[in-house]
Amino acid sequence: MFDNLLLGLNFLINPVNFLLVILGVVLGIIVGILPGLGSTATLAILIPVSMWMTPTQAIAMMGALYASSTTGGSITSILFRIPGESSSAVTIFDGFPMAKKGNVNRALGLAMMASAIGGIFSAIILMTLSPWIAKVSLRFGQAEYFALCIFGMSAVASLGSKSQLKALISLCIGLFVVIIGMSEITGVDRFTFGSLHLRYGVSMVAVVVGLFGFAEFLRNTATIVFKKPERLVKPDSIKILHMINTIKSIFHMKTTMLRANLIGLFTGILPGTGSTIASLLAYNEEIRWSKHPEKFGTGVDEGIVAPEYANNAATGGALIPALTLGIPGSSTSAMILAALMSHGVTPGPRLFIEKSELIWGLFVSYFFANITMILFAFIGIWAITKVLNIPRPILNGIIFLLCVIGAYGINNNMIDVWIMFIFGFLGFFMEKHGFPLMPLVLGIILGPLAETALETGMVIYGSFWPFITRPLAATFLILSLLSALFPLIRNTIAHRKAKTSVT
Amino acid sequence: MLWERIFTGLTCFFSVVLFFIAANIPPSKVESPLGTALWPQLILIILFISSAIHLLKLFLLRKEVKEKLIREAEQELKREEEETGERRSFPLLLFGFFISFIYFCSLDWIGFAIATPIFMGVFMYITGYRKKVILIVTPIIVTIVFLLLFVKATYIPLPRGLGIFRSISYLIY
Repeated sequence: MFDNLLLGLNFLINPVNFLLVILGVVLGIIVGILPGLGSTATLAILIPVSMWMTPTQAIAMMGALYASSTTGGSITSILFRIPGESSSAVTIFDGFPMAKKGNVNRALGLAMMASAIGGIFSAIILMTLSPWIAKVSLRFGQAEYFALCIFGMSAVASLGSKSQLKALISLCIGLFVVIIGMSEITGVDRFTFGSLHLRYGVSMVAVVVGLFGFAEFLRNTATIVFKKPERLVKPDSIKILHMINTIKSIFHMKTTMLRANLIGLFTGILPGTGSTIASLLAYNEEIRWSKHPEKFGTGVDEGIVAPEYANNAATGGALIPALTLGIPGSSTSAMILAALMSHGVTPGPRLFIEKSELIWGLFVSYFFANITMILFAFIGIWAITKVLNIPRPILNGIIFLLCVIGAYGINNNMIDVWIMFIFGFLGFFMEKHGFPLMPLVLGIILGPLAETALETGMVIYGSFWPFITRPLAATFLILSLLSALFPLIRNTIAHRKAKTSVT
Repeated sequence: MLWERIFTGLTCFFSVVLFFIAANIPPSKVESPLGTALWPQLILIILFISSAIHLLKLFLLRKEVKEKLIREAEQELKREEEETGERRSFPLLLFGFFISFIYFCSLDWIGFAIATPIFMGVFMYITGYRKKVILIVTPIIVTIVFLLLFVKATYIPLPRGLGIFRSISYLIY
């Protein structure tokens, strides 16, 4: 391994290679910050551009871009409530409230540090355990995927701390919304009402931008300031040093760090899941294990770091099956695979033997990118926080335009903008009347995966029985049941305790 | 409380309507052991049950409990207003709805380059900006920056409008 590491370092110290990796990091941060332009689309654009590079250079630059784009997306999530990348949507839940309370430095610092740690963790795992982990992940069948989704959805019980019924309604709305369109499995149109546009389904990004970004625009528009001039986010003067200082707090949350990184890594490895699901699962688990689940959504540290660890750890995780087995763990890693193949390189176990320079060039560059992205992310923050000094009506108008372009840029059509508009109102209304939005997002993300796993599993197994008898799937289902019942048990115990203390 | 009832009532109503629409989803030509309607119907049943229970709960609330909840919500709102120094305005919310609706409708007709400065100018004026120079210059600068960033740098083909507006848009980008 040491020889391979030297091989990778040898690649990186070449000035051209070094600059290409830096370019990847910078592009990643920019792509992450800009809503409407995803890392998958950018990598797709870059494939033809990369043809003039060597395969190792191309793949190293793309790996760096992939790593840093997830981090860049969190900046706008925290500052404007608009996720730059879909994987940063979960960071909004606690990142934005914390920034709004005036702790913008802390929110950004925690997010950036957790991103870097998550990325470095996945890079180390990538270097050491890739082939072994890929083999284990192959044991994950449709039953396990389905059970994993049910486990994720069971978090609704914890998320609806005020009203579990409202959380369930919200989850069902999310699950229903993603059914609209042509079924990926059967090819049959569902609830399209003859519309060609609806056949392609409702875009998750448009829904999330609407629920959070556009709803925020509406809230700000409908706000009259009667005491003192306020900004959308009150920055306690953006100070990079304050952000770096949050590293101390990060190391006080060791369990969160371990749990979220492992969730992110493992979810990233599973094909078809990716950073978005990883961040969501990590957030859910954080709520589930927290001693104060009711505080989530108001701006707690764990609510920011958990999704950030996970979405960055998932990027490295997604590269593991892509490189070792040729199975992409996410759409972005599929683009990296496409780039590899367009350079005439076939992914698979033999890649580690035949192209060790390429593999280790990528691994070392990926590791390096996760360290340097912090620097460029801070530059990005510095640049973007200048925007916060803009007067409120102008900034609100800019937020509105970012929402419009964020939705329009998904498929370059107005349908997604209208979807964003509708969900903006829905989000505003639901939040105003105590319906939590998080379960809705949970439904949108996990719905398609659950349906596909159930349908495909039924075709493969021929009955529902294996869904509950396979050991791993059964474990997840039992955990789901316990998780769903946990708030009920907790409330009963608390109620009894209170009764005893009174008597 | 009234709006919550209306919303929950609507989710109840639509879950029933959509359940019957789901029953008419055509069968699949490929092997599908579950059928094409089972998954949506399952979700709609859960949605209906949860909405119906919630609605029932809202209706069965005793008068004094209801009044207490409303009082608590009002106090919470008042406390929040005092803390933040901000107050919600329904007319401004309606304005936000209408201006965004009109802007979206106009994008396909007059294009991004023309609709955006008009939107920004009107929006800034209604939400309290009165300095004439800034009201004119800012929308134009914002539009230019957005065009440079999203059309020139990232190749997002923002709407150009129709007829004469399309020609004007082509002159700009």
